[in-house]
Amino acid sequence: MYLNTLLEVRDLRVYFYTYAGVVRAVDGVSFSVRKGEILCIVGETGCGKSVMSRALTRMVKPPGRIVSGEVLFDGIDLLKLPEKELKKIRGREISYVYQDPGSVLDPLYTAGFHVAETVLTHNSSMKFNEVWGKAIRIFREVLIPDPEAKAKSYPHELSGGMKQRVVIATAIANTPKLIIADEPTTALDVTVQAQVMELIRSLKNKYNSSVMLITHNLGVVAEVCDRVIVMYAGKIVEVALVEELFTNPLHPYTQGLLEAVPNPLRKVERLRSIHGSVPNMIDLPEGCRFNPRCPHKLQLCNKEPELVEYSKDHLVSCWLYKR
Amino acid sequence: MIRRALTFIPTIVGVLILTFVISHVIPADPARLWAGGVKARPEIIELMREKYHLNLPIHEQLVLYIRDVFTGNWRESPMTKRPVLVDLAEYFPATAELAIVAGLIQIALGIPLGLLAALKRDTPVDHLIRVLALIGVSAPAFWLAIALQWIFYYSLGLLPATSRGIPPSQTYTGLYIFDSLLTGDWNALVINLRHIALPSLTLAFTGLGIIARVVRNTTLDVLSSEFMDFAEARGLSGAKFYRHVVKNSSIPIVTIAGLEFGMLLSGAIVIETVFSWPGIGLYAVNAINSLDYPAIMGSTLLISLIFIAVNFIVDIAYAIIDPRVRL
Repeated sequence: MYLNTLLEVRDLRVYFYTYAGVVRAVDGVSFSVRKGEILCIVGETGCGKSVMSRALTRMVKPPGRIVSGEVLFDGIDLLKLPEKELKKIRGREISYVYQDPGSVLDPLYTAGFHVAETVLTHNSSMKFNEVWGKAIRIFREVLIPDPEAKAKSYPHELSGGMKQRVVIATAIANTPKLIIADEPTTALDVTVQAQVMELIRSLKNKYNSSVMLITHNLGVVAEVCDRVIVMYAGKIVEVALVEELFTNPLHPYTQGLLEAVPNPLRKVERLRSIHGSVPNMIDLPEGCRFNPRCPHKLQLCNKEPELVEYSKDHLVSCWLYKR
Repeated sequence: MIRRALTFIPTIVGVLILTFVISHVIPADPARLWAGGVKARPEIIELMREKYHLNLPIHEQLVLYIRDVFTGNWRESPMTKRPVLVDLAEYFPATAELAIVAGLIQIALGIPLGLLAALKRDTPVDHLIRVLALIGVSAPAFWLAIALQWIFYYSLGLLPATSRGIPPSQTYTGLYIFDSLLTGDWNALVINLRHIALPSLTLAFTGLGIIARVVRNTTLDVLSSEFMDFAEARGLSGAKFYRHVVKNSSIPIVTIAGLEFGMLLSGAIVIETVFSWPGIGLYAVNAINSLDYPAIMGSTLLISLIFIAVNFIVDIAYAIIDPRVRL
């Protein structure tokens, strides 16, 4: 473990036991989050990014179950912590920003109330008017204009971007060490997306928190991330620093992803799509899960590759780089 | 709010027109009946026709009636020879009492049962409550009433089967149980509670299951909503967490409780007949049997007015609970 490691995940597995069969949504994922970094998790819809992020604080609902793994946060394994202790960590040490700000706020309570109760939950000695004052200060910090009035507004009276700022306000309310932002800009207008990303970045710097950013937008990745994890069908296929990933992508899936979008660092003649589609999560291909779609398929690919270090800070799970 | 209240006037007029037409198109000669039957003297029959405007065309009768109702004259019942309003004032408290007690039973049992089913989702407890709901909806009320009478009165001799009990030494509202409590007349209270037990249970049972199901489903809906997921992610627990569940699920529950209260009032007609409960239902049934137009119209109008009032209260409750609703 690095000295500057905030969170370390080892061999995390989350399975969903459905009528159709067992869905191995997260299947043996190991990585770490460093202090003060923005770590991006990229991958297609349904590859297990969101489930993985929620499993970190054990927020997996039946039929899903965390089958194995360790999540070490400040040296404590969150997966073994009693629920009561875990509740003190959620929203205080580790906070979340969800995708759709339109549905994560309770429509019957004011915007300010959400922030105030999040503070109050973790600081029960505070009085409500103190907490309300704090909520308004936080509103000012997330650049909500006219915070006093907006705090008294109900979610339906606010725009999408404004609601996402309120959600971010709840996330930073207790100055957490880790903010997990699950596609925070997907539901927003393009013009607002950049503002929200910039806000997350500046708040991270201010509080010296770490951010785990889940996205499928490679533009966002290139713009704000320090390090990137690429996931495919419940597994990590590549981990790299952001410049390294864009200049020297190793895994055929990563290469495919980068060829599918305009690359700011490389001139591409024409965009290409990745052949085939994401495998059925119940009936996964044997060996490397990408092998049915892979242009460089080898004999070895019927066996499962391990995530190994290719160079410093660059890990890949592919037989092509087997030394 | 006032605009909302004003929309009730057309509803009331509509109710009046419908019941008026339905009751008056019956091919019968009420005047003869009111005057005393087959042997009635022609001049008395003519007097009756004159008094109740029966010799006018039906649309003119209707206009006259609506005008009278809105000026507070609900006519005189030809059978009881008293103003309908006086009759209603006498009979209505019994129905109100029955409906209120049945409503309280529905809420007191339906909400906990629904919550239990939601928390024990897909377990035998949940299934049992579902079956109970189905029985409540499908069992005819008169059958259930007779079955309960048979068990608790005829077989076990535990509870009285008919009538309303006794008024306490002083009556203020006409609600015997409430008045017994006010005057501290414990003897009357016990007697009245024993008398209301069977009719109110029967009446409550039909809607009980529906309320339990609605509570179950809304609670599950709210619990699986994204904002509850996010509430969990914010670390909320205990009362802070469940406050969101309760407030959000109360919206559909208020709706169904309001509708069910309306059902209680109309259901009371059957129940009151079986249990000889001297309420507005029994009064209406007697009125129908004797073609007592003013009494039929009066009781229908009163029940409609209460239904509308309950709906209005539900609307106000919405506006209080949900900031998105504006009256």
